[in-house]
Amino acid sequence: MTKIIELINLKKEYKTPKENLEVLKGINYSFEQGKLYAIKGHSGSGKTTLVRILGLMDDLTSGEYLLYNKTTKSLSDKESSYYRMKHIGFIFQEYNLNPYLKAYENVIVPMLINKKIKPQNRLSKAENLLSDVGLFERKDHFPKELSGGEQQRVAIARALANNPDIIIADEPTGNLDKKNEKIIFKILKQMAESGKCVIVVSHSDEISSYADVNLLLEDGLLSEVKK
Amino acid sequence: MIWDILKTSLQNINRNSKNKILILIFVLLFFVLFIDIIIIKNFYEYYDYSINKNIGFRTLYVYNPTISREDAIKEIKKIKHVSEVYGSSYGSTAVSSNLNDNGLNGWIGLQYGTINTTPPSISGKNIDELKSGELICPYEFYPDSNNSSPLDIDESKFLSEKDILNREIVISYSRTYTEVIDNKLTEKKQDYTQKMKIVGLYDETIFRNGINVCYATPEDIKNIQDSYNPFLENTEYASLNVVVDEETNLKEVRQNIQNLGSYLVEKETIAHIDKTFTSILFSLTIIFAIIIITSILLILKNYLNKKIKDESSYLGILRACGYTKNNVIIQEIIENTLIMLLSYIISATLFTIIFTILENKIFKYFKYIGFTINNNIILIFIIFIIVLIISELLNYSLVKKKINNSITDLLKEE
Ligand SMILES: Nc1ncnc2c1ncn2[C@@H]1O[C@H](COP(=O)(O)OP(=O)(O)O)[C@@H](O)[C@H]1O
Ligand SMILES: [Mg+2]
Repeated sequence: MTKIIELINLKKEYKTPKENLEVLKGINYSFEQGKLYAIKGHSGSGKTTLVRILGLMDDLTSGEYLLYNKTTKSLSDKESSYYRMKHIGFIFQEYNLNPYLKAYENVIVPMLINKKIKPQNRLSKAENLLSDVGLFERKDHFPKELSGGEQQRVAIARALANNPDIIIADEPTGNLDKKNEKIIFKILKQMAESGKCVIVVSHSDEISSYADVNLLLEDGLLSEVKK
Repeated sequence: MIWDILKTSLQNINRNSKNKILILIFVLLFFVLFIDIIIIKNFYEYYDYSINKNIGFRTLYVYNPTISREDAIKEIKKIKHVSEVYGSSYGSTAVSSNLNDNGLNGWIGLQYGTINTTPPSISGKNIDELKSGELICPYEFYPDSNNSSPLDIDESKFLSEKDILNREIVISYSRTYTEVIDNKLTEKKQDYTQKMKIVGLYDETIFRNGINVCYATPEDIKNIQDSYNPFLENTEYASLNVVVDEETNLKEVRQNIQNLGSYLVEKETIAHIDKTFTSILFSLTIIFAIIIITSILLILKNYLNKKIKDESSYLGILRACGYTKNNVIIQEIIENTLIMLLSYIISATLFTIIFTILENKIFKYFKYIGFTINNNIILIFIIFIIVLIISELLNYSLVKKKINNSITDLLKEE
């Protein structure tokens, strides 16, 4: 399997006025294509910190983060934005949809900055993505007309808009009930099966049954957990 | 990319009632601002043309019974800032006119004119090329036969360039006087007629003259006035109108004439009251404009602050899915521009429609009494552009400050 992400002795330190808090203490790990990774760890262990670094939304303090064997150090805003657009789809606990845009319009938002997608293809692409998450019929609905689970599925479709090869979800089902959680996990599993690298942070035990690899973040280090 | 953002922004504005309310408020404020700007502009012109350019407002009336008119004129002409001196009785006169074929026969005013005291012609000869027997008349000419009120003026009878330029006009005036014949007082009347030619046209609206005032050479005015009253030349020793080059030099010239001794100079011209009134109004309208513009910007600042705060996590999402800082800034600038532009377009259209209606119903009559109110779409647009630019700078600084936060920080805020 192709290695997409390689972390070498990755460290992250938060500098606060009182102390320097070392959250990630030298992580060595590689993520591959076509797998669903589940990351667990108690609250405050640094899961969000880790996935935000993976999503190129935060800087690391030391070590290396290689994306397709290329360093991600000292990227300009334009470069890191481009990588995020091209390679990474991020799903948050909060859906953060634009309330004034319909479901399909929300999905189109990331496509607007992608020169590779022709304007006339955007609508059909958005419709396909919404069918993938089972919301084709609701494409003309505004976020306030959708349930939490449906909104999160629109957010997933939005994360997939530019066809990224890495999907990162930080507690995507934190605000959802068991039934909706299952729907979301199934979608994420499908993504992995279609060849994407899917990394999911979740507290839910349910995720283990979908994951190809279960990871535990503990004391600033990441380790695989055998089933 | 910009086009797409424009479309999305329009949707945003259309679907967000907060934006609509903001636009409504701006439409009202812009409307009031435009009224104010047009008042300022017209006041400024009134001030400029009436007080600075119209000699009536910088003319001193001077009287000296101990000296001949010619000597007094020589003496006063030497004083600095004096641009013209002429006999008070020779400043203007009125004659009846006849433009044969068009049926407009009526009174016209003849005004003393030299290069220092008249506006440049917009067509035909200028005043300095004017010979005896020639006239420079208003571009829109309307000899006034029955002293009608402005409301009675028949616009279809206005004479314009092609009707009057290089046309001959017969002016007539008559002198009535009494003579003792056979120990009896007898009324006598002597009629004069004279051919004049209209050789130039000036814009009466900007010069705040009436619509039937023509300029003639000083000799012609004098001849006519002397015909009305043959004794004028002898009785009126040195009663003079002294035209000062600029309104601000009036005081100095008055003092210098008084220093010559034996001259009586009128104390204050009406122009002074007029000037004070005008400058107070002028300042008030400018202060008002500043208040309105400040209100627009303050309201906008509040709105943008709140908007950017509310949108914080959404901006974080945009950044997370690949929007660069500049992409986000462009998007915000476009949205702001749209709001301002929409407000402006609605407001300016409304203003122009209402102004045009008022102009046709009311304002047009003002020019017959020497006061015009003009709209100025370009001025309004320039004022809007200034407000727009300040608002964009404001918007830019607020968005820039926000967007420089890390994506994590943007997402954290709820
Ligand atoms: N911006 C920050 N500045 C300082 N400390 C932070 C910051 N973000 C997170 N932390 C700290 O880092 C630790 C890990 O946080 P986080 O990655 O959010 O954990 P998790 O997602 O596993 O709950 C926590 O102790 C948190 O307080
Ligand atoms: Mg977390």
